[in-house]
Amino acid sequence: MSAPDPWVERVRAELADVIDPCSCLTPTPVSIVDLGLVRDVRRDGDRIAVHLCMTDPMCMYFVDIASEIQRRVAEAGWDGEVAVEWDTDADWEPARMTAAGRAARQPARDRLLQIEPYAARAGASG
Amino acid sequence: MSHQGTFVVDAVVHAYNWLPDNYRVPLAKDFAEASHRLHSRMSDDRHRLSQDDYLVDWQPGPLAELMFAESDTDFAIYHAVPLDDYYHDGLISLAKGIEFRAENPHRTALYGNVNPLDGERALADIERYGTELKVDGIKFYPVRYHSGNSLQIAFDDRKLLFPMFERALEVGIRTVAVHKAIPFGRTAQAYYRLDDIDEAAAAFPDLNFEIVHAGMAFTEETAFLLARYPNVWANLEVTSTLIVNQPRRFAEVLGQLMYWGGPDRILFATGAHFVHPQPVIEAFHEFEIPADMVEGYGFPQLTPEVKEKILGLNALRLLGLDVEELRAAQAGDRWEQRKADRLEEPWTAQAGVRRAAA
Repeated sequence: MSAPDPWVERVRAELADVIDPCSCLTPTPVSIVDLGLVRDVRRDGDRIAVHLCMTDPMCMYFVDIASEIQRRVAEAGWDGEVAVEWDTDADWEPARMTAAGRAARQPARDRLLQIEPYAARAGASG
Repeated sequence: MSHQGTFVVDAVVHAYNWLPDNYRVPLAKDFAEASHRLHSRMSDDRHRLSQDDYLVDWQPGPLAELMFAESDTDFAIYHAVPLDDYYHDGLISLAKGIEFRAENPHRTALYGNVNPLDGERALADIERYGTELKVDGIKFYPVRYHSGNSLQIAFDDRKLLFPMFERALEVGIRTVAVHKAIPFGRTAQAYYRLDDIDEAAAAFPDLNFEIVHAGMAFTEETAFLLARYPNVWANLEVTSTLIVNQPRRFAEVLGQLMYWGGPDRILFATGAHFVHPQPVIEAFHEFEIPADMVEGYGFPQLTPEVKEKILGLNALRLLGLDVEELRAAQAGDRWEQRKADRLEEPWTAQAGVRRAAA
């Protein structure tokens, strides 16, 4: 088993700071890593490829996500090519989220699902 | 006014026509007989009818006698229904409802039947109901039977249903009653679920949505709708009649609805002449949620104030009517005079109904 490529590790670290644009519209923004959008990061010589799996085949934010990835990797000192690929052979599903991503979203989900009994809403006892 | 001073509103009454000459498809007979079996299950011995006496053609006059002379009902809401896929006149015709209301001012309200699959005609019906008939609500079913197929009517259908809700509001109709929970005939059960009510209730906050037969199935879903949407109401037609022979089941339903949704949007209803209304009213007056459910489930108890709400005041609020004004308008009318001393014997009104030829 070969040692991890330090640049692949560095790019993964950068991806952890790329926030999913849609989640920015919610009280709990999550990174594309925690959301499970990142399928793979590969380095082949002077080319790094980031493979993403989007939640929606009509996603309008792919371009923005790709631009931010390329900017961050360049700022980290990589002077080769950065290709951001949209993998269309796989569907995103909630199970792709990391434990941290799920934990971040859970309070919001709980709030959405919470239905108080009438007595609690009415401030009555019992 | 009832024996305990409670103003009783029956939120659904019907003048059914169960006669064979009204059957449009063979399944109509099956459904008629199934309805009688349910009537038998929901009635006590004194108020149970034979199949021959049940499967008749009720008329507005006898229906008024049943409600206002034989029972403590003070006010009744007539629902016409659009089941002309099974019965030539829709089973419970609008014409009878119009007559029922005309003959009993200050005691009746009327909901008009709508089949959304009629498209433009349905929109025209709603328009007429609001501008000419001045109905208090419109009545929908969630599915149509068509040559063995189920045609769904989804209440969150933005193309088909939302224009009808908009038209209703435009012509002053503020309530939509939706048959749910009890599958009718041989149609797909899935369409009697409540999943399509959320979106409609959210999109039309000024329109009231009555879930008719609330709690006969999908009780939790109904309770959660009540809890989340202030414009959703639980109409207990048929469900109320559980109180006669299955009181514990009734307590589970009512307790669940009150626990989540509170007591303010639950409507007492029998569906008479599906059953005789009086034993249901009497049982409700005496009813208590069993102590083990209050302790074990946290269900609220049925206080006298809550009973007054469910038995009548909630429905009057929905209709925008004032109880004292109604009492004044009804004072001394022919029904009050007829039952001044005591109620008439059960099913006396049967004499005025049309029966199948022997």
